[in-house]
Order: sequence, then C-alpha cells, then structure tokens
Amino acid sequence: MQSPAPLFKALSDPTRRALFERLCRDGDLPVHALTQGAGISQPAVSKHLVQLRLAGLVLADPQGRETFYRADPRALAPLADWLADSATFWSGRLDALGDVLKRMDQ
Amino acid sequence: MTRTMTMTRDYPFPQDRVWRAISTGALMADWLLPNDFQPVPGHAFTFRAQAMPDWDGIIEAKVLAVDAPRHLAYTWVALGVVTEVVLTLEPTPTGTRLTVAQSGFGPDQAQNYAGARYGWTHFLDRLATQLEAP
Repeated sequence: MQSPAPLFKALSDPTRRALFERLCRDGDLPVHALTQGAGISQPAVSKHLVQLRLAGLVLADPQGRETFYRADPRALAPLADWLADSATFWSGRLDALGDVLKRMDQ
Repeated sequence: MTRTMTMTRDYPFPQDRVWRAISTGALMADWLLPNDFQPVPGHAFTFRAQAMPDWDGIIEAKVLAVDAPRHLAYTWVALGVVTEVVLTLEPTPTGTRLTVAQSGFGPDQAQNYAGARYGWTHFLDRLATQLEAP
C-alpha cells in the first residue's frame, strides 16, 4: 500500500486544506481568485499551491498569461486505501490473537 | 469510505482468558503491536507499528475505559488521524465473542478527543463526498 504520509503532510495545514477544498468545490481558478477570501497574500497562496502540486493534489494548467489550478481528488486514493486498510489490519491481528489464546492454554 | 470498522470473532476460550490477552501489554505485543499499555483509564501509551517512508510507525494512544472482563477502549492516533478503538467481549455457548470497532474516520465520533489534532474528522467527511462523486 502506498503511504498516505505525503498527503497528510500536504493537507496538515488548514490553509492548504481550505485551498484544496475550494478547488474541489469551485473548479478551475487562477491564483488571484484563490487569494480572494483566503486571508493571506498571493505569494503565500502560491507557496501553498506548490506544496499541493508536489503532493499531486492540485494540477496547474497555463492558459495564456494566467495559470489555472484545479483539484485532482484521484490523488486522495492512498488516503482512502489507508482508511479501508483498517479492516485488513484488524483481520490479521485477530487471527494472531487466536494463536496467542491457544498458546496461553499450554 | 470506511468511517467505522467493525469486526467480530468467536474464540473457543473463556472470557477471562480473552480479556487477559487483550488487556495485558506483553500479550498485546504478541498479537497486536509492541506497546507500553497499562489497563488504567487516562494512561497515555504508544503502539509501535512498522515504520514506512515518511512515517515513524508510532501510534499514540490513551486508555479511555477499562471494564474487566467486558470492555476496553482507547484512542488510536496515527498520522494525525484520531480514531477510537473499542474492544467488547461477550460469553457464547462455546467461548467468547470479541467485537472490535474502530471509529472516528468520519464525523460521527472523535471530535471529542483531542479535537482531532488537525481537524481531520471534518475534513475526511468532506473528502468522502469528493471520493464518492463520480
């Protein structure tokens, strides 16, 4: 299973999460539109977008003089896998518990 | 997306023995993960899972409830995601039934515990909507 750690890292910042959610909700947006309502400067927004792009969560699409950003929720797959993996984890552990219980018998 | 994982197993052993296996640190290490668990409510401890790239494998935990030989609950914080693990034992005609429930991936629980360090519970709920969208 691919580690979700880079995703957690990228999304551990509330500002970045908010930017990502906004792109999920509102579709393609340029930096200046994202800056409106973000409560931080445009260079700060750009820095966060770099982090989100490195994690694969956001894609950049240059159109003329502007770059439009959009969310790529497919990048969240390792996170979803990690959550679903909980069942696999416990299933293996409960098998092992059965073995421990047998050994305690002796 | 899983928000509460529930799993049930029947073991052909008496409830007291299963209780000992799920509530004794040394025995938990044999089937679950290495740990410094103590069956004391409020006790903070760690489980040590195998490390992965970008993750040291440490699961932070805290005992929430100990009700021998029936009920054990602890928080389970991995990679900043706060979940709660509840182990319940019931006698059956042939032994003991163990139910494991791990919850808090979604919005229904866990906000109460440590405020979900990064606000993950709300976030994951919203993400679930994204992931379920076609």
